[in-house]
Amino acid sequence: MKLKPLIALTLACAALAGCQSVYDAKAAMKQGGYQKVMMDTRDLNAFPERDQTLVLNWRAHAKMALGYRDSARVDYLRAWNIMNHGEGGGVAAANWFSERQKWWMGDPYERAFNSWYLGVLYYQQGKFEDAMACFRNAIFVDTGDLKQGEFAADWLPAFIMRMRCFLTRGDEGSVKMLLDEISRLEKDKANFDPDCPWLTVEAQKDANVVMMIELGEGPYFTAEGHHGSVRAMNQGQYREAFAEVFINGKKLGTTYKIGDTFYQCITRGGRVMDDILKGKAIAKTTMIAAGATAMAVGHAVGGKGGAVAMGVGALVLVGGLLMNAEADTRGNTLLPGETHLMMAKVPPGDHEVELRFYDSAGRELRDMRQVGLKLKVPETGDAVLLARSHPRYSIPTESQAQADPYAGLGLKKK
Amino acid sequence: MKMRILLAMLFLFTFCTLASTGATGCRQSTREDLKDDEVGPESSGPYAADLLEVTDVIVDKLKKQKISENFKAKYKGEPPIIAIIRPQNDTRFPEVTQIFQEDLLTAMMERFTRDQYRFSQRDSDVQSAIASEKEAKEAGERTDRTGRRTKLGADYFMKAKFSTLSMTDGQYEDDTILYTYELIDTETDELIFKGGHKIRRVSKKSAVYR
Repeated sequence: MKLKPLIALTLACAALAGCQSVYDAKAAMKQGGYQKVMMDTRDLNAFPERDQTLVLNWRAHAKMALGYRDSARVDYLRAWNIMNHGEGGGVAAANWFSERQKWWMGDPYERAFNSWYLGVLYYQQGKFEDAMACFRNAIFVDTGDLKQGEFAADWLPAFIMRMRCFLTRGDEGSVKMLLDEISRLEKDKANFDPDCPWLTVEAQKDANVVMMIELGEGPYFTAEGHHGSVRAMNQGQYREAFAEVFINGKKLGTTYKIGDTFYQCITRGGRVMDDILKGKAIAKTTMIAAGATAMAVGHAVGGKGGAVAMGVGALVLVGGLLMNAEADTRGNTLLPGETHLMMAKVPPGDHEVELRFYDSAGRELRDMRQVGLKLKVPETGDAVLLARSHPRYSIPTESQAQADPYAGLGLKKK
Repeated sequence: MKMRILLAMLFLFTFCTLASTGATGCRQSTREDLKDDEVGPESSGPYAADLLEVTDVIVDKLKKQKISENFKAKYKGEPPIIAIIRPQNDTRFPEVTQIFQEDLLTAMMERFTRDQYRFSQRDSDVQSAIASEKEAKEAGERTDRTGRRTKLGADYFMKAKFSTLSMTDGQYEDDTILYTYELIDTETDELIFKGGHKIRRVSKKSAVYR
């Protein structure tokens, strides 16, 4: 009976020790789309410091979707600096308490996406040298230790946009070099469509419109196994399998898959943290059992020695209960499931684009059809369009690009 | 005895919780020397100190090569006009070229007099503003001094390029950045000089972040 308050206290301790959940961006998307995500994440300081990099990525993602390009770029760059220059933090706490105590820095595919989006925004702004660096970094973070025969970069969107940057310099040799790298990759349809027709120098030179169309929902993590110590990677559920593009009412063609986010998520090997979590799960079980046993023995023995045994047992038990072996399930859940490509040569001027999305059986998903998207093709250079298959998504107008998304709300500007 | 155990556990829990969450109050920034390598993020990318170092190397090279003296001897004491071209960035670090270009131009204008070198401002926004201003003058909308003056034609282009060899084994990030720079004669495309400066930076990442 006397142990009850102790147990209640320890359970409360365990509940408090790093189990707070991060903002649910996916649920927010379902409730109010990108607008809600952008507004909910307005005050970054309302989130724990350890989650702010993830929140910055979500906020930038929403701003980009709504057309606030400059503001999105600022957020992506801030997150980029933390993800690429930062040391992280909260690691010591994560070794005992929840893994979520450590600062979120993103998995390699999440870091690649961050760099890639930042690069696209620079590209659309005409800052090709900065865009070039971002695409290169996206490739770099997608690369493992090549000396050990690990993971060569194989996420094509970064390669394609890097080629576009080289073409702005008139550097065909480097375009060819990148194409050679792509040709050496395994032709795995789970990753990209090897029949993609724009993987030649001529096709790259010929095109002046690049459409990156994002389909479906990206992977998410769940904590499974012993004390939730196994971080399981799950594929996002979505119906769309490909898209068709129309320009000024004429069918331009079908998109080709050039990136699969789930594939990128699962092909990057294990983490050191996975081993730590396994060890924590075993230690947790052992400590709880040993603590409880010591307390029971102490209770049975009684007297001074028994009290000491009970005290030590209680400490071990509390330690075991406080130890949190659950895997960190934070992740950028707003990323797309797939990235598709459409390239074309279109006369300079203003055009209207229509996107139709289809499931794997070829049935059109009418609720996702997007019409009247504005495409301005310059006299020289590219028009780059990034579209998303989300039913609530509509490509914003150019006029919002430099606008402050929180203007007129009377609160502190982000 | 039990009360003491309870208090001890409470103390332990409070300590662990505070230690694990850390202080999340206001952050303060401190002012540091640009050349200080010991502060800043644990990054293998270019530091401000690196850019300043390369700028110094370029200015020293211009002095050593006696570009101004030789040009003036050839063209009746007229100093050469230099336009700095936006550097080419083949590293994986964005936002480097603009600060480098501005820093280089500022350093050159600080260290050389107008009798030694003159500089042409080629930024596209400035160029379009100049074009509008000239149009307004020609249309009589703005005052115009007698005797039209033409924009400066550069005698030399100063061009820089950043290349990098970036490696990682998951634990270390290793970037060797090669800063090359060249002075090009705009009439003949002759390379007057070309130099390079390598800086290698390695940073260690915590093993729990892959």
